[in-house]
Amino acid sequence: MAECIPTSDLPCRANLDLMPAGTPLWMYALTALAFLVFAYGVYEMVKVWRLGKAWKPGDWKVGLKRLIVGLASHRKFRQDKKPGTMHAWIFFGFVMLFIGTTIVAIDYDLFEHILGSKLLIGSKYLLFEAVLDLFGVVFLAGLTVAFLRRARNRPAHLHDTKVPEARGLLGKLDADAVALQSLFLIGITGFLLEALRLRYQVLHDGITYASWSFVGNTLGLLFKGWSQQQLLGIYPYLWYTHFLLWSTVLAILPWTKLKHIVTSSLNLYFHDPKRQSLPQLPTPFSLQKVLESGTTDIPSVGYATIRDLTWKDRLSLDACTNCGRCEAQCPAHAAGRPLSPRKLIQDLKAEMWNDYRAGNGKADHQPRKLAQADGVGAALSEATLWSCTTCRACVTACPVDIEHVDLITEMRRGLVMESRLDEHQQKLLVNLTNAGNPYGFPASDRPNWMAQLPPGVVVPTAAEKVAAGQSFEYLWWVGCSGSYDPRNQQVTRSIATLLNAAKVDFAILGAEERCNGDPARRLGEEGRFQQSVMENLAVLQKYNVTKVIAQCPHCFNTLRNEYPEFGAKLEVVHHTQLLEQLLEAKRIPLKDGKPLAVTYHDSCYLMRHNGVADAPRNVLKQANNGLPVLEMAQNREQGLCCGAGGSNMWFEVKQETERINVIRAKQAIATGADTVATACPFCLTMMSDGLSLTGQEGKMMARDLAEIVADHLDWTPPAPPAPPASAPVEAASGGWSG
Amino acid sequence: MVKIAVLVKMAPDVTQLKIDPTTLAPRMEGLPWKVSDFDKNAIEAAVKLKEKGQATKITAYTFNGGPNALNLIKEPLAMGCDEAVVLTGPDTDGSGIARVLAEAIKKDGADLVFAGEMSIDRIAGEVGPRVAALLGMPSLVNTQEVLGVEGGKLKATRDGEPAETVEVALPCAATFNDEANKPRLPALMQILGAGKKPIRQVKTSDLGIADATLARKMAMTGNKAPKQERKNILFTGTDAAEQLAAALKKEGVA
Repeated sequence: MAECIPTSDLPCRANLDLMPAGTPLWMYALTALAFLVFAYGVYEMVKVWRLGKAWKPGDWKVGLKRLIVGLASHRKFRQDKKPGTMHAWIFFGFVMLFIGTTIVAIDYDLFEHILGSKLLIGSKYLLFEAVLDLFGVVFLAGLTVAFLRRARNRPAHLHDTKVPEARGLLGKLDADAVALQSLFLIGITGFLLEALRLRYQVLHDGITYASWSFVGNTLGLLFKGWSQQQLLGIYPYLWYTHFLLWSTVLAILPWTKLKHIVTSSLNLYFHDPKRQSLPQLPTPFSLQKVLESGTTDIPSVGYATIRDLTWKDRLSLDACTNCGRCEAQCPAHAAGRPLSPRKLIQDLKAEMWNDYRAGNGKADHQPRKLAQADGVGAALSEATLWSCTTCRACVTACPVDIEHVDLITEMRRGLVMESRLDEHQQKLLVNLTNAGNPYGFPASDRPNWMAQLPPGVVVPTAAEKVAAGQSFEYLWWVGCSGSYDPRNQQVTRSIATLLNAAKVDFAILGAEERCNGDPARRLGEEGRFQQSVMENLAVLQKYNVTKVIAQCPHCFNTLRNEYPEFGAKLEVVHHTQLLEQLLEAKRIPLKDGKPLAVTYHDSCYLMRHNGVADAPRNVLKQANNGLPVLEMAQNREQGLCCGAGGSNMWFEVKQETERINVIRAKQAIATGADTVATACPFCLTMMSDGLSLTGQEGKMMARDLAEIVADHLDWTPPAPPAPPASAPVEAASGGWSG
Repeated sequence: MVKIAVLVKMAPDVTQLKIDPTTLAPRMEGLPWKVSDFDKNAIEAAVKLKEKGQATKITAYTFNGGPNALNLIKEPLAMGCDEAVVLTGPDTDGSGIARVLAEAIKKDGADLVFAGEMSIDRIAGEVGPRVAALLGMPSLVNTQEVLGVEGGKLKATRDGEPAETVEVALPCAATFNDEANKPRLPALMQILGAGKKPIRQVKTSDLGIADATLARKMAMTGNKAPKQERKNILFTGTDAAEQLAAALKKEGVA
C-alpha cells in the first residue's frame, strides 16, 4: 500500500492514514449497504412510475445535451434571481465535492491499492485541496442562504414539503429541514475532519502546505494547543460521523426531498425539447384515422385516474421539489382561484404514491377518479382544472421542465369524456360544432365586418380571387373575434387598411373560415378540435394556401404549431410580425402624430408560446414617434396572462378574489401609460374590461397595436372602384333571430 | 324492468337560419341539422332514471330525420340511450308522425314515453301528447323534475310556482322543456363510439302502415319572417342626442 511519506517536501493526500486498521472493511461494507438501500429506493420509484401508461423517449443525445446545458447554465433557475443563485451555489458546491470525493476514492482504491502509486500528490494535490475548499465554502454558503430564506422573509410560495413516498418517521419530519440540515452537517464535518488532519500533519510531519486548504487550515485554529494524541483520539469519531452521515443520506435519498437530484435530472433528460420550443398539446388520437377506419372502438382519451398518466408524467411528479416558482407566476393563483400549479403537482404526486401503497404495487388495483366536483374523495376538484388559462407561466418558470399545462389538458379531456361540463362550456362546444365560431353567430355572418371598411380599402375573398383567375400570396386568417366582436372588428378594419397601404397581396376566407379549434382543444375536447382542423385544412388545401397572416395569437399558435401534425404545410406570421417586416421594408408610410405613453401587454400565445416579443415592441416604437414602450412589472417571458386563455374566455371560474384582468390592468396603470397596446383580440377585450373595472375609462385605453399604426398611417386610399359582383351580402341588415 | 321510449326529432339548426331579404322565406339550403334541443331534455331525464337504477332500457325513436339521421342518432346513444330506432316513411303531418311513433313503440313495448315539449323548428308541441293518446297513456306536460319511478308510478314535479308534485301510474308519457334539466354533452369520440350500439332501421310499411293513410291533412302554405328594416341614420355633432330624440318622437316611438 502506497501511503504518503511523512515529509514536508512532497505534498500528498493522506487518506485513511489516521484511521484504525479495520476501517476499510467497515467503510466498504457500509457503503455497499447504503448503495443497496439506495438502489432499492430507485427500483421502487421506477416501479411506481411504470404503473402508468407507455411513453416513448426521444433521442438520448438530445436529452443528455439538454440535461448538461440546462444544469451548467442554470438558465431556468436564474429566472428567479436570488433563489436561483442559492441553488447554483449548493448545486455546483455539491457537484465539485462529489467529484472530489470520487477522485479521493480513485486515489485510494485504484492508485494506492492496485497501481501502488498516488494520484493526489505534489502540486496536483495542492490545487485539488484549494479548489475543494473553495467549493465547500460555496456549498455551505448556499445552504445558509436556504436556511435564512426559510427562517426570515419566507416568500408566500415557499411551502412546507410532504414526502408521500416516505414511511414512518421520515414521512413525519420536515422534508426541507432533513435535506438541508443533513447536507450542511456533511459539509461541516468534512471541514472539521480536514482541520484535524492538517493540525495533526503539521504537528507530526511538520508539513508546510496546510494553508492551501485554506478553510481546513483556518478551522484548525480551533484545535490550537491540542496534542497529537488528543487529535488522533477524536479523529476516528468525527470520521465515522461524517461517513455515516453521507452514507445514510445516500441510503434514504429516494425517500427524501434530495431525491430530486435523481428525479429532476431524469425529467430534464427525458423531457421532449419540442414541448418547449413548439408548444403543441399532446395528440392522443387521429380523428381522421378513426373516421377512415369506421371503427367504433374509441381509444382511451384523457387522464381520469392517476394510472392514466404516462410513466414520464409520473416521473415528472416525482421531479417536483415544491419550490413554488410556478405558483408565484400563476395568474389563476394570483386571482385567488382554486389552482396552484405547485399544489396540483404535489397533490398528484401524493395520489400516485398513495395509490401505489393502497394497491400494494399491483398493476390491477382500481384507482379512484382524479377529480370530483367538490374535490371530496379525490386528489383535485374540477374547478382546479378549469381555473387554468394555459398561459404556460408555470411551465416557463419550472426549473425541472414539468409540463403542468399538458397534464391539466389531459385531465380536462378526462372530464370532457365523462360529459362533466357546465352549460357555458357546453354552449361553446355546440357553437363551435354548429356555427364554426364560439359565439354561435351564423357562419354566413362572418364577413359582415367588411360592410364598414373605409372607402377604397379592398378585402377580397379567396373564392373571389379564384373566380377572377387570380392567385394570392397571403391568406389573412381573421379569426372569430376579429370577425364577430364589434370592438375587434375595428382592429380588423385597421389591419385591412394597413395591408392595403402596404400593397400586400392577400385574401380572406370569409364565410368559409371556421374557428381554428383552439378553444375546443384547450377545453379538452380533442375530437371537436380535430373536426375543426379537418374542415379548415380542406378549405386551405382547396385554395393551395402556403402563407398565412394570423390576426389572433391563438389562431397563430394552432395553425403554426398544431396544424402541421394533421398535414398542414403553412408558413404562419402573426400580424405584429408582418407589420414589423412591412415597416422595415418601408412599405407602410408613417407620419408623426400625438406621442402616446404606451405600455405593451404580452399575449401568452404570442410570447411564451412562440417567443414573439420584439416584433410588437419594434412596431410600437416606430409607430409612436420612436418612443420605446413602457414595460410593466411582469413582461415578456414573465408577462401576466389577461385571463382569457385556455378557453377561459367562454366560461366563468367563480372562486376569484380579484379578477386576473384587474390585476393586469393595475400593472399597466402603474407604468403611467395612457395606452395599453395589445396584439390579441382576447387580451384586448380583457384589458378593456380590466381598465373600466379599475375606473380608467377616459384616462387609459386598450388598443391593438395595428390600430396605433393605422392612426399614424400616411396614406390615402385610392378612389373606390365599382363594387364587385360578389360583394358581401346583407351586411348590416337582414339579421333574423330564431 | 322499466323501459323508456324517447322521441327524438332531427331539426335544422334555427340559430343558423338566414332569411332571404327579398322573399322573406328562410334559406334552408346548407343549414346544419341537429337533435332538437328539448328532446335532449327528455333524453337526459331518461338517462338520469337509468343511472338511478329505476329504468333498465332506453330506446330512442326518430322519424324522417333526413339523410344524416343515422349519424345524428349517435348523439342520443352517446348520451346514454341503449338503442335507436330510425323510422322512415312518406312525408306527413303531426298526426301522422305521432301514429308512426306510437306504432313503433307499441311493437317494442314501453312503460314510459319521454319527449321534448316541442321541436325547435316547428314549435307545434303536439307529437308527445298525441303519441300518449294513441298509446292510451296518461300524459304529463311541462314536466320539471323526475323524482323517480316507484311502485309502478312516475313521481315528478310540474312547471309552475309553486311546482306541483304529481304521481302518474305507469305506463305513462311525459314531455319536457329546457328548464327540466341540463342535458349532458357527449364528446365527439363518445358519439363515434356510440355507433357500437344497435340502430334499427324501420320503414312505416314494416309497421303495417299504408302510405295513403299518412297523407298530409295539414300543410304549410307559406313561411315568412317579419320584415326588418333599418333606417341607417347617423346623427353627428354635439346635439346628436337631441336630434335622435326628435327623430324618435317623429316616428312615434316616444
